[in-house]
Amino acid sequence: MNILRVAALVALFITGLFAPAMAQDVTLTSRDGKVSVSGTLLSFDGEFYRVKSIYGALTLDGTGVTCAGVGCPNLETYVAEFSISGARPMGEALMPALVETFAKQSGMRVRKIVQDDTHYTYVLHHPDTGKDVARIGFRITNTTAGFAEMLNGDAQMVLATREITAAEVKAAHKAGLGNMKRAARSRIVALDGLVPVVARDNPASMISLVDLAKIYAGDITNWQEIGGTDAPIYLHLFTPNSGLAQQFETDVMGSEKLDLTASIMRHATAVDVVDAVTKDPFSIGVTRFSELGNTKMLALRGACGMAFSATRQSLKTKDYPLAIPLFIYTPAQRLPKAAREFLAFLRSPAAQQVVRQIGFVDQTVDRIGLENQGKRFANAIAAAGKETGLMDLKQMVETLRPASRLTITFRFNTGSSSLDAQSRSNVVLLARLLEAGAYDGRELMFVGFSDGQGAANGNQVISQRRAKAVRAAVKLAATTLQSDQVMLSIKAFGEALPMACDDTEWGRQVNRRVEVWIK
Amino acid sequence: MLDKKNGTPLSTIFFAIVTACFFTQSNGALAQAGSTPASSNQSTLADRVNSSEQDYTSPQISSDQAFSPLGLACDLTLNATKSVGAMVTLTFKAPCHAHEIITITHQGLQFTTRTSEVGHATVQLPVLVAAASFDVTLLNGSTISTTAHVPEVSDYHRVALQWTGESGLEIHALEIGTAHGQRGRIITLGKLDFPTAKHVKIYSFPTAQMQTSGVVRLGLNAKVTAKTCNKEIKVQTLQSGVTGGISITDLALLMPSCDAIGDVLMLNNILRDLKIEQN
Repeated sequence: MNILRVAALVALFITGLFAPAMAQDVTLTSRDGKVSVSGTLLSFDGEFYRVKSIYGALTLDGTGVTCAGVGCPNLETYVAEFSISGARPMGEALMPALVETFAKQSGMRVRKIVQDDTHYTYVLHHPDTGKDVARIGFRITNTTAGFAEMLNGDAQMVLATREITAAEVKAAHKAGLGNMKRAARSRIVALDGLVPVVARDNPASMISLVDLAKIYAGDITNWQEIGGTDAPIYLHLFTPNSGLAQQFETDVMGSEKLDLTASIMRHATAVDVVDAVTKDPFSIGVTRFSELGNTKMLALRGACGMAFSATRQSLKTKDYPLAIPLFIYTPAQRLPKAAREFLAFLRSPAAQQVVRQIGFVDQTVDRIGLENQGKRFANAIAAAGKETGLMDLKQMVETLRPASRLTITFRFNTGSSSLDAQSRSNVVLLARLLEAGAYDGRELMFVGFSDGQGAANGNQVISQRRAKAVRAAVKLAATTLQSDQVMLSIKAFGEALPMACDDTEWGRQVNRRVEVWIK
Repeated sequence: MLDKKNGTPLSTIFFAIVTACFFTQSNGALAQAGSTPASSNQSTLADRVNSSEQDYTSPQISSDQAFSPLGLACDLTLNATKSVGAMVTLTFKAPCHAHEIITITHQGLQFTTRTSEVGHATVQLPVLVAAASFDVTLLNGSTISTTAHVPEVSDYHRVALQWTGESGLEIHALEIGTAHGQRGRIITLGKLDFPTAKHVKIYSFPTAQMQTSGVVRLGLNAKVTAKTCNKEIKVQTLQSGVTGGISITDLALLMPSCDAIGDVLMLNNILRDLKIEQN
């Protein structure tokens, strides 16, 4: 593949991206010999020369020029180098499998140099010549440390189990790494979720988010208090600096305004959490969906009785409230070609298959027929009453019955009309599918729903407005889409089809959504 | 089965022996067959047959055709017989290669062992694929191959490590929550110890026997010894590929410094944990 060409074309590139200037002179001459620029070579990224000339710093495409002079990089020995740092859940099994599959698809072989479980380097080399083409260094720590390494120039990609914070955005801007909030700076590699687990011989099968928060706050300390046997509850969680532990604190503890108790057994990895829980029937743990080990997952129950289990589908739709997108962030720097190709590979069906095989949730779009949504409609009937009447339900069923729901769902940040990270990624995903003609000749319905706070009429209006806003965002992103390719319609049913109980903020957030249905 | 490189059809050998016996019956020196101690005035059997039969061509005895001190033809034989647990028993016979180091190869796995005083070697090994092929190679490079069909292999999950030299690597398998004790087995192949000896460790788990879903933690342990400290150890892992097939990965383990002799470098992310999904 193309990496090969890079290797042949290109030259010296030193770790830390953009080699420190070898203060040596070069003369770059166009292929026809008509134009030439002399100066000091600032850097070479495998494709582009940056030269400090009398005209200032110039960037020249390596394919269009020949290099002469002592400062010229050695094209024969060029090896693309870049470093990836950050979250452990992504660095343990997922990234190695992705890199190995990427190499295989590119016709490369790999050699993995291992220092320990969190420090390793992949060397991609050509199978025939044995020549090294790329070196990808991994330092697996946690999301926060990953961003810190990006800031001081030691990482060109950050593995993150959470979105970048405002403080990190600010620091990156200051360091000249660009606006990290921009869509081009991050991509979702896979989806995951936080799940409470118990040993298989523990009879519990459900827990409310409120009880879960109280258990981890130390307010509930005995299984008897939540309907179990008289036995103390032993708690397990990730170490405090892990992104997943932080997510648990904000999403679960934060919504109840509770703090974690000191008597939690902390573990460095999800494997350690679940293996500890497996051995103790009186324990409870919080792990990620992608690492359940030999434990039993508990469903989350709301006060009104609606429950959610984490499944591939409920994590894709984010109907499960503790879904977690896994990101790769890249600073606004020119990456070596091999790195850019790796990023492009992450979006491919082959990469999505790897994601699935390793146990994470991929982002391919699934269809959910009405026949598999019985529970949702039963909930709707149960919740119908004063404001949502039989007529409303009938109308909704008539609209949706000939269609099926796509797993692409749009949700909003708490107390705001801005889309959350997974939904922003879904805008791009859907736009790309539309552009590619995946739904040509069909009707896609953007179906708005709201929570049950406030008057039903108002909610109907709000849900319609949200559906329109999402459609507009998708249309804007699908630049090459022709208006006659596919019909994009708007439907809105307000509070008619609640997914979760409206008594908590997370429940309301799950309910405020725009679904996409295909007819 | 035939030696690929020095192949001589059995019938030819038989004919050669018969010829030799016929000819050397006076001293009965079977072991001398192949050389021709005929005195010049005696016509050979071939000559005599030739003279009586126009189209007769004498059997070709290759010049390196040889017999062992026990009078057995030097030809190599290799047989593979299936045994329980998706295993195969390889029986290798090389009568002229007693006490010799041989290399056994199976789907990318390679290990060394030594033939017995009569040049035999019997090895039991777990297979990695249903259409399994095996090669045995002698020091002089001659190789003999055979195959076996082992469809039962799909009932097992297998991962392997292999390396050359005296690294002393181990597969670490932790079957937690599987209640009935260890079900998996670790098999060591290649027990010779010298700098170029090839070693294999295989972990084999009977997935088809599992009634419930579960996870087995797999790790690689490398002892820090005087021979391995501060060195780069080369290892290959063989495990089922993410997108199917067997994937072989070349590893270089950077061993800790020699202050850490006696410690064990434990790596949990080299071999993927085995996830059994039973619905």
